[in-house]
Amino acid sequence: MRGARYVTGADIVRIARTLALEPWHFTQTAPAAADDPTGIVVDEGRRRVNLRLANAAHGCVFLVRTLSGVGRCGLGDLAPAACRVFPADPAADAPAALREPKDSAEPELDQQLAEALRGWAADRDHWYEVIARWNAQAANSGGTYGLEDFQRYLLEAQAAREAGAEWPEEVAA
Amino acid sequence: MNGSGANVAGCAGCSGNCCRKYKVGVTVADVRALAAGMALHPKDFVRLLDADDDGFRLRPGGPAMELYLIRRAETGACQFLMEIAPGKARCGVYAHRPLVCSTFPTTLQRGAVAIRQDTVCGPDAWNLAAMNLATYRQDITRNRAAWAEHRQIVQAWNATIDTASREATPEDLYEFLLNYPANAA
Repeated sequence: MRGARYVTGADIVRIARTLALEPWHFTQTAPAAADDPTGIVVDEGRRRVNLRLANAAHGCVFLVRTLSGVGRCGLGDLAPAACRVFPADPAADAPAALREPKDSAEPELDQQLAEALRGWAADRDHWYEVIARWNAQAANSGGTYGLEDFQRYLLEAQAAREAGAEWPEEVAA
Repeated sequence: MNGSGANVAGCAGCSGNCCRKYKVGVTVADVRALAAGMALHPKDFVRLLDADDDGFRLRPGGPAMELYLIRRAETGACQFLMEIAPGKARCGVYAHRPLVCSTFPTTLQRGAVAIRQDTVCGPDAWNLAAMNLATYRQDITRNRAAWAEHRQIVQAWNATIDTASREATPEDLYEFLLNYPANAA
C-alpha cells in the first residue's frame, strides 16, 4: 500500500504539513517502468522513479512497534487514504465498495468507504497530472531538475489545487 | 513533544528530547486513553517503577509503584517515538498521548500558563505568545483532575490488595485499571 500507485501526492503533502516535515524526510524512491504514470523523470531523463513512503529497519517509517512486538500505524487518521481503506483495494478495476451496496449489514460504513475511495481516485488523478506536468518541465530543464525539486513542486501544486488556483507554472506575473 | 493547531509536531527542528530524556509517568486515564485509542494492552506500553511516595502495591506492605511508559533500552526514547529521519522524530500516538505530554512544557504558575524553565528544551526554546494557551490551560486542568482520580484508584486497588490471599501480578493491576470502577465494590 505504500507504493506510488497507492500513496498519492495529497497524502504526502498532508503528512508533511501536519508533522512539520518536508516530503523528502519520509519518502524514498524505487525504479519505475517506462509506462508508469507515477514515474518521475530524473537523471536528465535517463531514469524514472516512484516516490513512496520510506522504509525503516522495521518496515514503514511510520510503523510503531512495541518492545512486545505489536505493530501500529503511528499516523492514525493522518495515514494515507489507501492505508485507511485497507483491505479494500482502491486501485482495483471495479472496487466492490463502489458498487451500490445491496442489503449491506453496515450501510453507513459502506457509504464512508465509497466516499473514501472516490476521494482517493480524485487524489490519484491529480497526482498523475502533477507528475506529468513535472516531467514535461523537467524534459526542458537540461537535466538540472532533481527529485527534491519535484517534491517542492508537489507542495505548490497541492496548495494551488486546494485554493482552486491555476497550476504553479501557469501563474502570471 | 507538543504543538497546537494543525501542526502536531510543534517546531520543524524538534528532535523530541522530551521523549528521550524523561521517564514519562502517566495516570490511569492516560493508560485507558492509549489502550483504547491504539488498541493496545497496557502490558504493551506500561512498566511499573518504584514510586516516590504512594503508589500501587502488589502485596500488603510491598513497594509502592507507579505507571510509566516503556522506553527503548538502546536509545532511551519512548517506544511510541517515530524516528523518521536524522534529527526528525515525531510522536506515533499523538491523538492519544498522555496529558503530561500534551501540557509539556507548560505549567500553571501564579495564576497563568507559563513555560517551565527547567526542561530539556532549554530556556527560551518556546514562544509563549505564539502558543495556544487556552488548550494548554485546559490540558493542565484535565491533568490535575486525572491525577486526583488516579490517587483514588491507587487507594481502591491497595484496599483490594490488603484483603487478597495471594500476591497480585502487573497483569491483575492492568485489568483492574481498565475495568475500574466496575470492579470497585
